[in-house]
Amino acid sequence: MTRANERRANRQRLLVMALVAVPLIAFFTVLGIALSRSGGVPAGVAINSTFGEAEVDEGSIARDFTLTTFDGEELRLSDLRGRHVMVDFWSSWCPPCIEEAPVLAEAYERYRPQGVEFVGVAVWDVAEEAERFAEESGAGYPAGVDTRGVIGVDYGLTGIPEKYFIDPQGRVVRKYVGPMTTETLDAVMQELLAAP
Amino acid sequence: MPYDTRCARQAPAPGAMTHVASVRRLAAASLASSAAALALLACTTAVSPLPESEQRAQAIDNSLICPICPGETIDRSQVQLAKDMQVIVRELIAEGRSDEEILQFFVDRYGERVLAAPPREGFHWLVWGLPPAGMALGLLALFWVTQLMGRRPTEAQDSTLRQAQGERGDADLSPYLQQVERELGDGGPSDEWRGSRLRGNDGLEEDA
Repeated sequence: MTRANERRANRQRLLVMALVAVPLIAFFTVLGIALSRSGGVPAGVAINSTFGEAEVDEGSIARDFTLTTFDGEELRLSDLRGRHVMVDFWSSWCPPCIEEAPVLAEAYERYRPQGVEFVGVAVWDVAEEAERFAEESGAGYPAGVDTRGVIGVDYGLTGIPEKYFIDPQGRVVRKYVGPMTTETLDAVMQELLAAP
Repeated sequence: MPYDTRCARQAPAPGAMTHVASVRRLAAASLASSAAALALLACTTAVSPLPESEQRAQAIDNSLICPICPGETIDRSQVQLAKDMQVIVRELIAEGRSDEEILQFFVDRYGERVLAAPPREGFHWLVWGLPPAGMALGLLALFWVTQLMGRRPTEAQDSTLRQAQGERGDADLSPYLQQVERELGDGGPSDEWRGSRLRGNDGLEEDA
């Protein structure tokens, strides 16, 4: 084979390799970008496995809801305007929720006199079991079951426990995923109470 | 009785008759099963037509990913959140919301990751454009390679190829050609070789 033929064959080989390689490289690039944007996991499981503060849309108004509490009263979130509110999504079958229940009960007693209100919203649960759990945990704050699942969907809930901190103007200012300890809860509450 | 040669000529052999009959039976069975399938299809579509709102709801269910079950749309997922979302979809349809408004309702709460198909905008265009572009490039490469394989060699390549084949052919075949010439010169294959062929041995082992 002459040198010119060899050169032509090499060019053809390179072109075929490029035609195969370019789509492959582009595919893996898109896959990499998508994975980095999703944090590597397309979705979690119902019980939150990663704990910590999560991003919120700064200044977004908390979606209003009405909850029938275990006491039989109708609680409307917008009625709590003027106070700091912590909305906690939980379930009676969720181990991290069981673990943090005493922490929340104790913290509520300390922060309630400072104009703070806690609201417990049981999701994906049986009403009777949720009520029994609330009684046994000794939580003094109002709680009820999100029977239609609308409150959870309105807050974009992806796992439990999950907490939303709402300022006196009704804006969501913090979101916390997973169970909180006394220390982490105190840190958040003191920061919110100190805010102008 | 006059013998009808025409009929006799056309009458198939007994074996062929059996074959024709089996083909006819097969064709009849195929026709019957096709008719039954068509009738079943007609029955199912005629008996249970879904209301338009439910058809819309199911289409939307199929367009929404369950946020807590990777890769599953809410119509397939068995978790409570997916069931709650299905109920909300039907409530929003009953309120008179359009499909786009309902999808946007869930995007506002869960982000774009709740959509089973990415929207046709911005970065997402890559996802829509890359597969067809890759397919087109692949087809182009395939077409090009087949063209190359089928192309007649140029005169220069042809002569080079013939030369190479000739040189190699002579080199490869020379022992065998010499063997043939030797055998022909001796007046044919040896008795020993014939004997080995009769015993079922082609003599290659002895040759080796």
